Amino acid sequence: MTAIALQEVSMRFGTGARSVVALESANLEIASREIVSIVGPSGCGKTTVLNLVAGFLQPTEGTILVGGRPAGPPGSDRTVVFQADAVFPWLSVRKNLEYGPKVQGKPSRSYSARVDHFLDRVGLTSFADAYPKTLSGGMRKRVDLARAYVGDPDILLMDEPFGALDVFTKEAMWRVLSDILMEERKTVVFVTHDIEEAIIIADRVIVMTPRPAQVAADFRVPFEFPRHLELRASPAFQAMRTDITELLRDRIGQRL
Amino acid sequence: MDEATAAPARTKAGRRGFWWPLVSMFSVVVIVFLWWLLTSGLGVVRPLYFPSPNEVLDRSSVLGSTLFKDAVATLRRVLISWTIGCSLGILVGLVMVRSKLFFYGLTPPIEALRPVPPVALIPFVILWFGIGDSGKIALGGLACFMVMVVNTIVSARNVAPVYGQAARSLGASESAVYRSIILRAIVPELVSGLRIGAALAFGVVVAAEMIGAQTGIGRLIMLASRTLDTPVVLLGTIVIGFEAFLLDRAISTVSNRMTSWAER
Repeated sequence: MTAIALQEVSMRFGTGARSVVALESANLEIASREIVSIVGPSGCGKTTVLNLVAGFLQPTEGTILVGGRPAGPPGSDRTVVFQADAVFPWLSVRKNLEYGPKVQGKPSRSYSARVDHFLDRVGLTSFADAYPKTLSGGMRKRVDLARAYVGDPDILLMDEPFGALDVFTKEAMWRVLSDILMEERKTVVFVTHDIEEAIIIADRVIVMTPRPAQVAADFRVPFEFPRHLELRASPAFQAMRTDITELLRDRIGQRL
Repeated sequence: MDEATAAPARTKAGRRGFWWPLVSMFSVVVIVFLWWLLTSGLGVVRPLYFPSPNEVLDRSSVLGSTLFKDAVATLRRVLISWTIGCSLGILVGLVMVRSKLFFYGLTPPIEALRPVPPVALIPFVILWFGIGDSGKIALGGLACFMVMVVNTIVSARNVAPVYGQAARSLGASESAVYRSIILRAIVPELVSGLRIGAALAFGVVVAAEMIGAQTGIGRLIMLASRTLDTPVVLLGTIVIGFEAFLLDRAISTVSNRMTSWAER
């Protein structure tokens, strides 16, 4: 079943001579429960794709289908995890997790067990009543991920979620994410400019290039889950990484 | 997972911070001592130009309950005008954030009136309201209103868009984003407006009392200045300073408790 489909989608910002093309006739299909990463340099339109699917943007041309229906306004069926810190600082960790169901008026008994479960799942049970200001960057990202999961969205949209983290925290977040995905599989669109991250997270890597902002290639990642960090040293992983890197260098035009 | 980070460092810094209030207290003592030294002690400054602490104390005991009544009258006007002015300012600011119609409709009159010092309106205010409480409250309220309208709009604009986007993708409606995100996120910034408003209210109310009033510290200072009674003039300014300080402290204590979540 197709979870997300982009059909001849173009996105222009501004009008007339000054308009900027952020995406040009892009076509993309993402199956239900598939983990797809979109990789590419800045300006390739990868975040635009995500914002279009999320409903934050309306395409200039083309159709975006989510679950077979045209993508409407943003909603809890496709929750976004941003690169910027989006954990609400005025709410405690637990209240952050409860935010989604609460704001939709669901009774607390319907979600309190799920909140406890995901608090535990991301290792923050003992910080449930703490305000985010007392947490480190990695811990806040775990709050964000758990908060997205509590609402049980069909689709998880991740916009360079670990881009601001140091490399060790980032690796720890890969493990948290892949563990939680093993337990409760979802359709994931994971935008990143880190090629290694794109491969290790996903079933499929979509490579996008700028000018024109288009889908350039589509790689299937053959490695079994659960994956370990050592996988990165394997020849097959390295070969795929090299392929993607070379492709991007070709298209961008290496200027070094 | 190892998460024993941030928290322990804080207590250490807190213990070191214990000494700083003593430094402030010491500075107050030094200032009072210098004041005494230059006036009574060495007699360098003539009492007419700057009265000594003893004279000021003498006058305060002579004035006694009159001084107290004046102090209460001024504080009462300030508190009422501050409360009404700030509440209305926040309310109108929030409406302008929410509705384009109100924003474009109310911006011209507010922007036209905002740069005008409220004190310039005193003649009109006396004409319209007389020399009772209501005129001073209206004037102080107007000053607070102007500060809070602008402060509220700016604070709402400063809320990071990512919070609203995150909320909407968690299922919040447009009005829920306003209620649960905007209204929560602006509170720390509103506090600075509330404090500026309080200081401004004192200035405006005292100025209005100087020009026409039957009670209040402003009137006390004005009457004393006519007879060159400088100890009372100084006494009046000390009372105003003290009241303003207490109000500011009260506001920041309450707000610190309300916004303990904010990074400082």
